[in-house]
Amino acid sequence: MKKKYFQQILSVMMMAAMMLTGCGSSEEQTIGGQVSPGTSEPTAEAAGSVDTLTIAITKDENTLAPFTYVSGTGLTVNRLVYDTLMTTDAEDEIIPWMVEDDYEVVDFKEYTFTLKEGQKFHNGNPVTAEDIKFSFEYPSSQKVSGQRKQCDKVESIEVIDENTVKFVLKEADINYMRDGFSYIRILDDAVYEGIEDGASISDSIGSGMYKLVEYKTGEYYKLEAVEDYFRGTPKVKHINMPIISDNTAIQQGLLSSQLAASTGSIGIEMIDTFEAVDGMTVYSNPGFAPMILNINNGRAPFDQVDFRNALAYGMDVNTICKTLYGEHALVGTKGAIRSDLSYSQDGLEYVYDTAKAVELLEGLGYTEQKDGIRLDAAGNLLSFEIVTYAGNDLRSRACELIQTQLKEIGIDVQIMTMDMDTADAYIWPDFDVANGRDYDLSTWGWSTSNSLTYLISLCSSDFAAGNYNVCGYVSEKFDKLVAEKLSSVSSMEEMEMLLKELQTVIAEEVPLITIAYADTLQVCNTKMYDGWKAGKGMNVINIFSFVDEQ
Amino acid sequence: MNTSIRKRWSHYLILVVAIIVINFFLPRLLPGSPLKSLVGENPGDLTAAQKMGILDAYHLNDPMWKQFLYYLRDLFALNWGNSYSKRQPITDLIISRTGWTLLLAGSNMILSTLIGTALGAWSAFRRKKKKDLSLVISTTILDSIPSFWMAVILLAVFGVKFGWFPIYGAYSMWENHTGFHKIVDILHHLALPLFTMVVTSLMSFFTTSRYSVLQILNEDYVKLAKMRGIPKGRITVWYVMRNTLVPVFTLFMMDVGYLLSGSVLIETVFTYPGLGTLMQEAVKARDYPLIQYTFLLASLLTIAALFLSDVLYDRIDPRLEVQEDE
Repeated sequence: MKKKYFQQILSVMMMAAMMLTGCGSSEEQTIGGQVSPGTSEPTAEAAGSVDTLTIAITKDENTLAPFTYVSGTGLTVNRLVYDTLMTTDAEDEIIPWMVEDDYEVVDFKEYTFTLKEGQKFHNGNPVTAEDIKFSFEYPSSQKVSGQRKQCDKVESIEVIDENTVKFVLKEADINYMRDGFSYIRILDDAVYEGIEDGASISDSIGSGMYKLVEYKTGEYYKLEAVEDYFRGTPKVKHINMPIISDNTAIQQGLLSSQLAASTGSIGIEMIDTFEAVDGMTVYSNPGFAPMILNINNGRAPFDQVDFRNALAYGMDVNTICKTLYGEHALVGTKGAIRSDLSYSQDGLEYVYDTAKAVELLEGLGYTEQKDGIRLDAAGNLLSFEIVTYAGNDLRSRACELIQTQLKEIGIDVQIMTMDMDTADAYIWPDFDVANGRDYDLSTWGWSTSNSLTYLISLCSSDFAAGNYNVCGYVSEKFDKLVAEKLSSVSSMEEMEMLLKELQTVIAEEVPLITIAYADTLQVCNTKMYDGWKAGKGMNVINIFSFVDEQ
Repeated sequence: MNTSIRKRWSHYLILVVAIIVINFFLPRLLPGSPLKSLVGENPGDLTAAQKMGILDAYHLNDPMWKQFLYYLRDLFALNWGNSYSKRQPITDLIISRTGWTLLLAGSNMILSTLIGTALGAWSAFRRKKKKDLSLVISTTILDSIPSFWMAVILLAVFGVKFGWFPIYGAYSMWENHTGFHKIVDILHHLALPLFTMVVTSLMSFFTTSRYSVLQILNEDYVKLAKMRGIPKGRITVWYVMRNTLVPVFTLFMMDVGYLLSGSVLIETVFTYPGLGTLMQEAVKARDYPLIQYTFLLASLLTIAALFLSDVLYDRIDPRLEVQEDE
């Protein structure tokens, strides 16, 4: 009887809500691909010509312009609107995009490019060598620009003719093809010329395959294909991008076909759910963002190499990786880079050996124990804090596993969960490694581990070069190698040799522990559109999903 | 102006001053820095001098008292500037979001008050009967369900499984509806978030109303009215419900304070572009000006609600004014 009343009340409430909302309305909406609410079967579209796709963007990235976007999500989406001279393909190889294949490189210091024919900005202006020059100079004049660091590396830019431009860098930089030419967005100088603050420009005018036709703060973006794009007309005419930050809402949107894809990713626990749905494909893209255990190298006892090695031997990195990501990750190595990169040094795999860890700890004098936890010379428990971000379930789980494993060798770990900004303030105060650090251990991640200068940024004690050295690692060996060899590198082979040597040093001294490189798992509706392209380190919302590489 | 009113005004004035001051200092006491929001993607790529230059440009390296004076100047000149993270005028951001929040949270307040009060009274009149017990149990169960959980379930069932409702937004972003169609479209998008909010916030009005009615039903004047043969409907409306109004009204006015900020979870799950999510994003981004002005707005609304309730109490129940004068 009670159940009956309960049901009645619920029914009345739902009826009232439905009457209020007129859910029986025959209003049609263009959502997802060509689907309307109540229609469970989306209209299948071949990759040839799709009118509209709805793709969730997980963050409000302002106008998507190079001076207003706020995160990697914005960088991903604005690549559709803004072109770059070079780009990376599905294999993460650098290929020419706006320029002809016969570009010249001299000693990784001088680069000469010729623009391909037929490129135009969305306002109709042609893309010229002057625009290229401007695009690499203007960010240096901006107080707030993520591109500034790369632009500051340029000594001079010479416009040889309307389509040819020559760059001379201040110093040889083997990585500039990736960090500079594949990253700097090309601007129309007519739009930004004389504008002191680039962020004040409300229009987003690039020369990419899509133009931004509408942006509503906090709500959505509307992109429209550039019909006469120099590399061919994009296969999807309109892309609608609602800003949806909640993962659950995105997943529901994908399941209901109200969304065709998302810039965000899913966890491994959702793979089966999506794969069971007809027309849903889960793309697993090898990622370059590592999950790291940062060790504060400047704080005792972590300042001892043997102690850090004991941590590495005491952690079963393979098990942690497998537990967190299943088959969808590459386990980290002592070399701190992906083991499948061409310049990865062989034989640097982590070895789980608790006996060796115990031997190292006892060699350091940590022999006494109380309740299974070792004591230091002063009789204090060997107990440390590990800082991790609140709301990041994977990192929290990793902390729990590390806690359990280190307890086996007599080290106690307390997990400190904090919001991102609070944790950053302890680990990377003011985002300047020269400002020191105040933590024992922390979970961490970077997005740029495929850059040739990644290891140097991560481990150099010259904080201008080692600007990501949040562990405060200082190594004479490492610094000497960088100082002696980096500036004289004149070929890719030499650079790879240097990187292998650096990995060997890192493996011996263990400034940090790289746990895994997780794949990026993204769901796409292939019934609505089957042109999605996935690749190494690539979001599925990339240029190759909408135009062919050739 | 009598002493009582002067005293009351002075209380509100002190409250407003305190809020203006707290709104400045509170965001700055949070650990972390707005640098990441100001710079964008890679704050670690900037040199120390470049970072200082950015902080200087926003007066963030100035002494705190100086920053406070800038804040007061901008506040009273209504020159609220741009958001650090959104790079847009704060007034535009607040205006664009406030309407949707008022629609969602305002509708919820009205509906949950009306439905909760009516159900509470209906239940009280059937005290100790099965219907009363069923309602008490039902509302208790509904109240114990976390709102975000209810939201996710409703989204999955009515948005995905049946496809009756859209799962994101406050309106169809990709259509240009006008007139009646636009209203229907907005209500269509409002349905699930509103239903979730109403169902999960009924309980307080239900219990308050039920308890008040039960108490009033035992009052002598109600018993006397029944003995005098006054019609039941008249007793219900004029003797019982009218006197139930004071506690319900108190509860209603307390909720007004949460009007702008109380629907953060629901706005997030349903991707409803309201002020609650804006406030949440501002805190996450350490966007000082946006935190200051959104919280200021919410605080001032609370004070306005308190003030209004103070004024209206006297009208609703003149006995309160007499007590105060005494």
